[in-house]
Amino acid sequence: MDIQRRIQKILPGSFLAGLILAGAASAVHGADGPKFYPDDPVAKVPSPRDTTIMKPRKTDALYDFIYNSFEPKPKSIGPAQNVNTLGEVPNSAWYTNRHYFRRMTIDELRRGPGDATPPKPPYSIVGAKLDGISPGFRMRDANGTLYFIKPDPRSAPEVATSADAVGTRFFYALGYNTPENYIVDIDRKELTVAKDGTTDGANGKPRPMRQHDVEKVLWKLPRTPDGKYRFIASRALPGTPLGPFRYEGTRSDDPNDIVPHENRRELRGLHVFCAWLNHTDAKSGNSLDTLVEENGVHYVRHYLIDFGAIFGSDSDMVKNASFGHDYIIPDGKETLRRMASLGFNPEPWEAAKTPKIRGVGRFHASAFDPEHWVSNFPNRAFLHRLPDDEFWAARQVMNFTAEEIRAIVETGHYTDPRAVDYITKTLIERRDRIGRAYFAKVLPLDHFEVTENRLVFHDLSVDAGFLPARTYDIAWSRFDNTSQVHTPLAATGPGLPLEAISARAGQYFSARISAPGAAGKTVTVYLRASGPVPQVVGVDRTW
Amino acid sequence: MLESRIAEFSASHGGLHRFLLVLLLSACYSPPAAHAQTREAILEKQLDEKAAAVKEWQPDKVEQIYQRVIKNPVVKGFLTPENGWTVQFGGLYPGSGFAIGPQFVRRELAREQLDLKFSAAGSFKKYYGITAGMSLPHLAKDHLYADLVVERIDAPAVDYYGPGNAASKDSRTRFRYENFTVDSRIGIRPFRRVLTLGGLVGGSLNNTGPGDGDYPSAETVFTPAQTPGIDRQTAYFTYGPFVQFDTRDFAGDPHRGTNVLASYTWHNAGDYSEYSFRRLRLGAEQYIPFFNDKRTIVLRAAGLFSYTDPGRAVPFYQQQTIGGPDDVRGLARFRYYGPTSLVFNAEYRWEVATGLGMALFADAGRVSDKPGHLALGDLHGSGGFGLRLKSRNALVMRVDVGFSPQGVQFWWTFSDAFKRFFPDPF
Repeated sequence: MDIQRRIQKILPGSFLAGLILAGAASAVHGADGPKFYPDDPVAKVPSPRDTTIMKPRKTDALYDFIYNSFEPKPKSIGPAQNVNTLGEVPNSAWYTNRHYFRRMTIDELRRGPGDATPPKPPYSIVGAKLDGISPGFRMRDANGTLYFIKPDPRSAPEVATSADAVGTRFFYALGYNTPENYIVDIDRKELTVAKDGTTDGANGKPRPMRQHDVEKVLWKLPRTPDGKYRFIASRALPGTPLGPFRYEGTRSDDPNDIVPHENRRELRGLHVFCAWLNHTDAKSGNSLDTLVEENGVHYVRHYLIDFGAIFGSDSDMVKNASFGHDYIIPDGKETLRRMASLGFNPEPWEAAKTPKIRGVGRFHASAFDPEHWVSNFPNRAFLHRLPDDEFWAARQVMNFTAEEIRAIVETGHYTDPRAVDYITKTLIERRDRIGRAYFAKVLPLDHFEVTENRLVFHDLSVDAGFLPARTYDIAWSRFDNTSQVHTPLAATGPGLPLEAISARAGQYFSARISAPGAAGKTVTVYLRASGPVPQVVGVDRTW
Repeated sequence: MLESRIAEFSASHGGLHRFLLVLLLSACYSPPAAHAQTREAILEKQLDEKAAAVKEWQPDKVEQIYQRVIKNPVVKGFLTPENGWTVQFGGLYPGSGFAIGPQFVRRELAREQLDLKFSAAGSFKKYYGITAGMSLPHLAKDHLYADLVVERIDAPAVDYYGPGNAASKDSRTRFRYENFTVDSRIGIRPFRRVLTLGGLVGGSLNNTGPGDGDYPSAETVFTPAQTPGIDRQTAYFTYGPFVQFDTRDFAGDPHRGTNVLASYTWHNAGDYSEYSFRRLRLGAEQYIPFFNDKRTIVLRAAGLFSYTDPGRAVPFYQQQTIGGPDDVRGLARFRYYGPTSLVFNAEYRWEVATGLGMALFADAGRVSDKPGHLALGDLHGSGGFGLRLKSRNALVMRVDVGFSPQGVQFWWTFSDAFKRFFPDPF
């Protein structure tokens, strides 16, 4: 009996045919599904799942420092996992698309997360943190609203309070959840200690607060010309505090935390924002998760807090000149080099000058190198960033106009007007350095749309004046959404190919854009035929 | 009826039956994505999967070990010695070698006004010390403070080369020094900072004896005429005023500012009046920063001038010395003894990394029997380099190597080079 008949005997033809068809069906669907779904690109994540088992957790500052300083750098880094098909971050409990995506007015930028509830005297101190780097109080105002207040150091009046007020507004405009921060001048007579006020004693155990505890702090503080004490008052965030979030992994008790934090674009891209604003203390301890309730669902909202270490401030003193340029635990080779040089070969940032203006601290642009800027110690999400994460953030930084930057800086209530001028000028220069650095790492095209059967876009480097106007090579393809195969078409240039113009709904096309002199850097834009005008549904970048 | 119909159908349509069965089975098994029709459905599924797998958060094993270690009372006391038991390194008489011992600190007693400290330490060179102190640091709205320190030390091998600025290196001897002191200090800070005015009151019981070690005992080599007090020791009652002007940015690790100190004290000998004397102590430091405080030039001059009435002398164990990690670093510790001394230091410091610094230094000093005989000639000089380990605003550890015509000295200490005046027990 020949082989064919043997097979037919074992596997009757109909059965065999069924198997073959089933296998073909699987192959057609592909292992990961199509590249695009009908609802792509999504603008927000699904509604959160209710969580009931979450408890507060702490992050030990020393452990955080040691772990991040000595943990090896990641060997391989993949793309961000929480972006939509356009490479944008959908709105979520982590991030909200704001200024870059819908230009905020000057008033909105000044307002930040809110400015409608400044503290009203008299104030009652209900708690204190008297030790540590910066002392502070928990305070209720006349309306019973809870605030956390912190002062400036005597050696650097206005530096920390202004930084905190301005920082919360910048990071809010950039899309993060931040607290309402108010600068408030408090008269000594307006401050009393609540009868049930407590603080931690020297042995770490709580004890009743006394007037003396407040006096001890006030004695060391600078005063305003009218004898008051200046504080930054941060309104208590809504919800139950759960402790800081970490820049790595997920929380096992949070049902909505499904993307490892080091792979979240808004945390990777945060590196660029922190570099711009010189937020060298971007660590877990300066974040806060709170458990909030909306429509009966409890979920976690993630905040960035405590911006006292941005610009030229380091919370309780003027910023150390090396912060932003060196990790606290230094590179071994670089350390040996500096030892051998006897210090006679200063780094650019050692020689950089900052004018002595009240409220400015140590802040400059002359030695600012975005590519080499670092936080005080490594941040796992920052280390995982890729050029597309950096581009996502850099274009937002470049989006701020000089007027907008100035408007936000003015919310720092600097008594010396030169401080506003200087900080604004410095931020503008740092902004431009960021644009130059990160736009050069990709093909910096953005704002894709189809207009009059043409694919139009902006070259952000050209718009910013970093490059002269240039030409682009555009190669069109038909894109099979299921097999993800590009079939080249004859059309080139920005005009849509005829096939795309006359395509029926649901068909996909791609335009691969490159530019002379930008070898290896391309942008592939995906269009989906839908209605009279094809919709831009995807953007891929190579570098 | 039905069964026969099924049997009949299977017999005639068996192949088709099997085909459809296979197709049905393969449709039931397919990659999950193939079922999702929208991106939102995929995301919802991911959320559902996570929701089904939530569990209480626990730190990983490394963090758990860290938490256990950090909560250990000994470790906790070492890292955050604000209250309770901790370990003290050093703090004994100079030359004790590596010293270690327990320390207990209790702060904020008596309505947060009173701090107490007890410590005991010993070294491999058999030096011992016990200290008890109390401090009232925030009296009168921080304008006034008071300290009281009681200390007992036993230093069995203190070097002595003989009196004066020309003492020979070859005449090295040792003596034992025992001392019990009670020192109190009251300070007034009219502006809460920068300027301090105050007074010192204290007393001491002193005893010297044969020294331990490889060198002859001092009393076998030197006579009482050469070395006053070698044959008999006395108790002292000490008192006098002081003033300090201090604009340094951080006393623990200054980069800028000025520190000027002056005190005048009477030392009245209780048992042998010929050993009474008066002492003027003057010191000035200037810190000059540049390159954004990453470089600092430090200039220091310190003089200790002892005055005696005719026929009186300062006993050798109350004399000033030069040589050691805190003045002329190229000289051996206690190299020169004299009632009066003068020291100059210049140091160039540069930061290598946050928390790590280096220094090049030059020191010069001399002793004299009387202030009037003090001249800038015959200064003993040295130079060298050093490494500093620092915390945020304080020096944690210092390693200095000093070179002089008399040889090379290596110093490993936990204090700043210029912290000789009024060591703060707290």
